[in-house]
Order: sequence, then structure tokens, then C-alpha cells
Amino acid sequence: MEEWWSDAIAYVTGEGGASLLRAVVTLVAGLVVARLLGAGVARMLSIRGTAQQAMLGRRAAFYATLLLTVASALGELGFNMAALLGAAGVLTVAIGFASQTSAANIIAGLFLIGERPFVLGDVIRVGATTGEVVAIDLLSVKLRTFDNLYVRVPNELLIKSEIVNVTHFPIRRLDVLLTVDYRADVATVRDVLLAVARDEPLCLEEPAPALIYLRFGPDGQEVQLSVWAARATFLELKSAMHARLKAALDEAGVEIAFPQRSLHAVSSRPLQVEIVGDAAGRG
Amino acid sequence: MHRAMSEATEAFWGDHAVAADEAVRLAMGPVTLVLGRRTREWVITRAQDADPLDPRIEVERGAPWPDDEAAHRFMDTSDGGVLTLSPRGADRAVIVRPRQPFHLPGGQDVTLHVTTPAWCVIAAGDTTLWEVPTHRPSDTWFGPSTREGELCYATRTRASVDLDELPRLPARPVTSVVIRNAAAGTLEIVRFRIPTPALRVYQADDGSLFTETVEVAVTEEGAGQVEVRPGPPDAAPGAVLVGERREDPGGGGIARVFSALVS
Repeated sequence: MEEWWSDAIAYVTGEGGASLLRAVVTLVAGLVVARLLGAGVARMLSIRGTAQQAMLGRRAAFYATLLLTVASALGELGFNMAALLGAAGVLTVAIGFASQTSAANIIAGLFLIGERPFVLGDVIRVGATTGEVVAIDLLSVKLRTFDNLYVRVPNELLIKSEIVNVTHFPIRRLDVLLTVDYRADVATVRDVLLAVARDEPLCLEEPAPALIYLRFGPDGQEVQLSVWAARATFLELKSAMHARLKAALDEAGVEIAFPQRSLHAVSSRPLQVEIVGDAAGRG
Repeated sequence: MHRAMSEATEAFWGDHAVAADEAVRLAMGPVTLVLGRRTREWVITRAQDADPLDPRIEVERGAPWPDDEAAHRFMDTSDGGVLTLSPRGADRAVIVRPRQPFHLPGGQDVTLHVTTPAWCVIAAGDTTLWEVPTHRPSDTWFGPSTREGELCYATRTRASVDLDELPRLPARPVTSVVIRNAAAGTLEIVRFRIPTPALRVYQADDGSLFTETVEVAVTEEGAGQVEVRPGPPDAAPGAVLVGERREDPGGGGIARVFSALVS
């Protein structure tokens, strides 16, 4: 024990101690420089770019500076950097095989940040998930669904999926599909539906509402009423329009068709109809 | 008629003293306001009728208390017992679509007079309690495509050339729009945009409301250089300022005031 202590004191007071001190100073100074550099890069990018780009820039600047600092400190301590780099290269290959998915997510994240198909606060639909973007990180994007669930979507999935950005443009079109009875007059249906759109303040006058006659469907005449609304009031308009359309059609005597079939007897003999139950309707 | 309208509009716009636990019903055009006063509190309801061109002006003191379901409550620590109603322009630009397209030959100019619904500012002293439209117009989109543009209000009007033909409605300020066709061809005016938030509101002797005049010079490409002429309009030179504008009209103007065809 005393020998070990003597060796330690000799090291610290000798050349080794000086190297250790230089390494520590290099590390501390490097940390400070890394933080300052990261903050500066983040500030610069936040002015010209998005919050995500600023975060990414800060981390890149910090870790790059830290890496150089650690290499310099190791050099001060007398480590052979060439040998270390060689070992690191082998380690990198091993880690690379093990972290393919993470690397793919990081690269996908960089592409997403550069391409900007959506930003924080947008509402996007990915597959069956619809939610507000609450974070865009290197490995994944976090969504908050409308029933307040937290969903993590890997960036790799996003980069190769169809993403629908619901809130990208300021106005949206609402398509109301209706099937009206074949007995209803087409002109009357048109007038009733367009009058509802005209009287609804949330429905934009331009682009003008349009009524499209889709087809003669199996259950009735299929029409589509297309109206436009501001993004902020889209849901409110959707509810209001359906209610008002139903009321207006009822008032005009236009029946909304439901599935029904007509039976045509091919035989010349009349169909026999049997009434089950007595006159009081009891079965 | 003008004197009666003046007195009637003065009965609506301006100060209203209300005793504690009493209510006043005020109706102007399509809007009906009921102002109820409690100690350090105002209870106010707003209702709107369907007809935006309703000319009525009604003031009823000792009215029934505002309906609780529709009421808004406002604290008023000053408890002065007086509310001031003043007019203001709409909080968005208004897109005017003449009922028939209007054709202006090249090199000529015309002044069109249109009306837009006023907003009613309800204030207790220097504190604005509430701001409500006298008529809530329909929304509309104004822009080159559905991807870019701005959300505006829409109004359809005769866009009268003769100011006297325009019905003077107590809740609808008149805006005079001077259009100069600097192009060689005929300008077909299908719709145009009035920068209502940038216009002050004035009241003439007869009680009718006016805004500042808007001047537009339309170029060959259909874009317009817009300017707001400060002060009361030529139609009412002695009109008094009663409503401030919401925003600075800016220098130079807005490129796309018009969506028009130049042929």
C-alpha cells in the first residue's frame, strides 16, 4: 500500500502529473467551448431556420467539439491515437451492424428536417394515426392524438410512408355525400343544398360551393355537395352543415334514400302472401 | 327623415347610462344588444336577425333582463354605470362582388359606393369590454389559389355609382372606392377587396356612417396600387371621426386588390 502511494505521488509530481493536468484543463476548456459554440450555432439557426434545425445544429457543434477535445486530451495523456482510431473503426463496424435501425431513423430525421413536410403544431395523418405534431426529434416524431394519446412514430416509417398534412393549407374543402330518393326533383335538390351553403356564414363564398351529380346509385341519386371552410372552423362547419342539410331536405320534402329493393315477380301466378299473427299484431 | 335618422342613430351610438339592476335594449339594423347592469358588473347579450339591410333603430329602457343562457358577463371595477357604443370597421377585409360584372374602359375612372357592416365597440370608460359585429357576414377566400391568400368577409352589393341611390343604413358605413383603369383595355370588375381594418369611420350630420375613401389604380396585369385617402370622404366633408382604424394602411398598397380581367 505504501509503495503504491509512493508511486502515485511520484507520478503526480513528475511529468505524468503535468500531462494529467494539461488533459484535465483541455477537457474543461473544451467543454466550455463546446457549449458556447453549440449555443451560438443554435442562435444563428433559430433566426434563419426552424427550432428543430437549431437543436440539431447545437448538438452537432457540441459533440464535434467534444470529440476533438477528448482526442486532444487523450493525446496529452500519451495515448496512441492511431491505435485508438483503428480500434474505434472496428468498434464502429460492430456498432453499425447493431444500430442499423437507429442510424436509418437518424438519417430519415435529417431528411424530414430538410424537406419539412410538416412543422411543430401541424396535424398529420400517418396510416391510421392522426395527431398534432408535438416534437420532431432525430429518431422519431411524437404526435398527440385528439383523444390525448402520445404516439411515437419512427422517422424511418415517416420517410417511406404517405403523410397527410391536414393543416398545411389555410382552407379546406368539405364534401358531403348524399343519396336522395329517385322521386326527388334534381333541380329542387340542387336549390335546397346550395341555399343551405349560401346561408351558412362559415361556408366560404369563394371558392363557391358546388353540387356534383355523381351517379344513379342502387339506392337513389347520389350527389356531392362540396363547400370550403377556413381550417380553424372546418369541424364546426362539418357539424353545422350536416344538421342544416337534413333539416332543409326534410322541409323540402326530399327524402334521403336508404337501401331498398323492389321485388318483381317473374311468374304469371300471383305471389302468395301470408300474414303471420292475429289482427292485433300478436305473433 | 335625415333629422329623424340622426336623432335615432345618436340614441344608439354614444353613452348609455344604466341604473343598477336595470337593462336597456338597443337594436340597430340586424343586431340587438341588451345591456344589463349589476354592481361592478355588466351582463350583455347580442342577437342577430337574418336581414343584413334591416333599417331599424330601437332603444328601450327598462327592458327585460338579458337571458342568462346567452349572456356574457363583464367586470367593471369603476362601476360608473355608463357604457359607450361606437362604430368600427370590420376586423377583416371585405370582398365586394357587384351583382352584375362592371366594365370600366381603359383610361377611365369611376367611384363606386358600397356599404359594409359595422362592428360595435362596447366600452366602459376607456376599457373596451366587447366588440361585436352588427351583422356577421359570410366568410370568403381572396387569393390567387386555395394555397395562398387571405380569409375575408363577403358582401354582395349593387356597387352604386350614385351615392343617393344607396340606402342609408344606420349600421352600414358607406365606403367610396375610386377605381382608375390605367390599362389600355377594358377592366371587368368581378370582385374587389376593401381594406376595411385600415379605414376610419366617420359620422355625418344626418347620422349616416362613412369610411375613408379608397383609391385604386389598376395596371395592365390586373394588380392595383391601393391608397387610403385620410379624412372624411368627399360625400360628407364635415363628418366627425367616431371609429378608429384597426391597422395602418401601409405605404404603397396591396398588390392584389382586384381579381379582374383586363381585356
